[in-house]
Amino acid sequence: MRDVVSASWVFTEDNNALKWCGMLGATVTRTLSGNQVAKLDSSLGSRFSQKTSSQSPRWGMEDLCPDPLVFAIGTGLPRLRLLETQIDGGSEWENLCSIGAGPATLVSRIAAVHQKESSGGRRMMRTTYEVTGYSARGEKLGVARGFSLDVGGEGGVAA
Amino acid sequence: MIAPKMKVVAGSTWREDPVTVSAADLVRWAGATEDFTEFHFDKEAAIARGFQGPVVNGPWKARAAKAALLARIGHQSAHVRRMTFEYRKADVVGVALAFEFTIASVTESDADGSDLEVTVRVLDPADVVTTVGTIYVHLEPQCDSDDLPLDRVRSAVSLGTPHGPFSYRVEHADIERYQRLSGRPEDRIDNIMPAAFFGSLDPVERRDLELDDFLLDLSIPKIGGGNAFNQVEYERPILAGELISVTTTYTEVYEKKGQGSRLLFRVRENVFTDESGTQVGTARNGHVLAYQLASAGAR
Repeated sequence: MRDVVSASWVFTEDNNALKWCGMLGATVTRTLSGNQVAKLDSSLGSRFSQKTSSQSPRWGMEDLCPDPLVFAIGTGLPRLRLLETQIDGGSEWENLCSIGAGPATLVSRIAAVHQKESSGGRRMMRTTYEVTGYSARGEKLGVARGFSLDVGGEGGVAA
Repeated sequence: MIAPKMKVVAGSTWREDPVTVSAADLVRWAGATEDFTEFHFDKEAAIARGFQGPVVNGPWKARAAKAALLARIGHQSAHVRRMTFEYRKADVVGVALAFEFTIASVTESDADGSDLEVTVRVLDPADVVTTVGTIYVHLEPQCDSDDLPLDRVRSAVSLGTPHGPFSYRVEHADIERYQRLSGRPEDRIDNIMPAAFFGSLDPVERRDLELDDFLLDLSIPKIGGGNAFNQVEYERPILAGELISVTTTYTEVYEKKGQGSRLLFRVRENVFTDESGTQVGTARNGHVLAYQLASAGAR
């Protein structure tokens, strides 16, 4: 293995990590409803708005898949343990079209593993878990991504 | 009109009042997301993992940031196209978090509204940035009067220009099920497509042709809508198994003013042809949306 050290994220060349890329989780059908969105919003209380997004005609991937990392792991994908410590490194949601009430199909996969070295010299690896949503008609609704961040020294790959 | 609560200007920066997240908030979040990782709501589990207390879920902070932003700019006319968050440091329950926003850019278009790029920072009481993010928001054009955007609708549907063709197989099982559900006696069930079945061959009803979905986001309150009329004429019976091509042309967009509401009509014509290219039928469909007049809403 050639150790790639960079201040920005680059694709890892570690074959022990790369072998997981492309792995698919179980396909899941979720039915989004105003009630479900209201449950998510109830965790925010009334801090930001008296009107909740459960009344919005447009829902997004952040409503269909509010925690992409947790969702992807729940579909059977392994939480990779590439270095000493694993944390939730971030999330991303992209909406390609509005999502209404009704069933949607979610397909999750391990999309990529990147690595870099922090300014403090700590090695970090980032696994991207990608969840793609499709409508009942097969239309792509959007994509949600969860980033699992591994921090620390050398470590083996274990699911 | 629903006025934005703040003027959207590039460079604007503001900080919301601090938010203290409770364990109850995170239990609700756990229930809604089915994430029952204990260190998010169980103090002992969190301490065992080296945290000072239950850890606030990163996506909770992302959702809170979105809610705060949309509430600030008036979310009736706004929708999020993309948002990305990086969780840099764990926040624990009971600690006040500050959400700070900066409008990085505003791209305006008269017809389509505005696109905002908003950066977000979440800071702990020591002003350490624990989370950073960017939210991309689309704002629909604001309507300052009761006027419906007729020209925009006409342009969106390309009035007079055919769309398609869209091809659909007329399935025997669908015809049979339709005939049964509509009460036809068993001995009269056949393989001829009923006249009222035309909707199954309509690209708009099937959502294969969506040209004016921006109407969902108009800032004028929508109070109703549905099919206004349908007219179908067949040149010959359409049989199960046939592959039918459909071309859709919007022919009229107009409005009618009612008491307290304004009605927006979009009329489209579908032309059905068979595999030899011969026209086998036409349908003319009118759809109506009802909007509350601003003056009525003010009463």
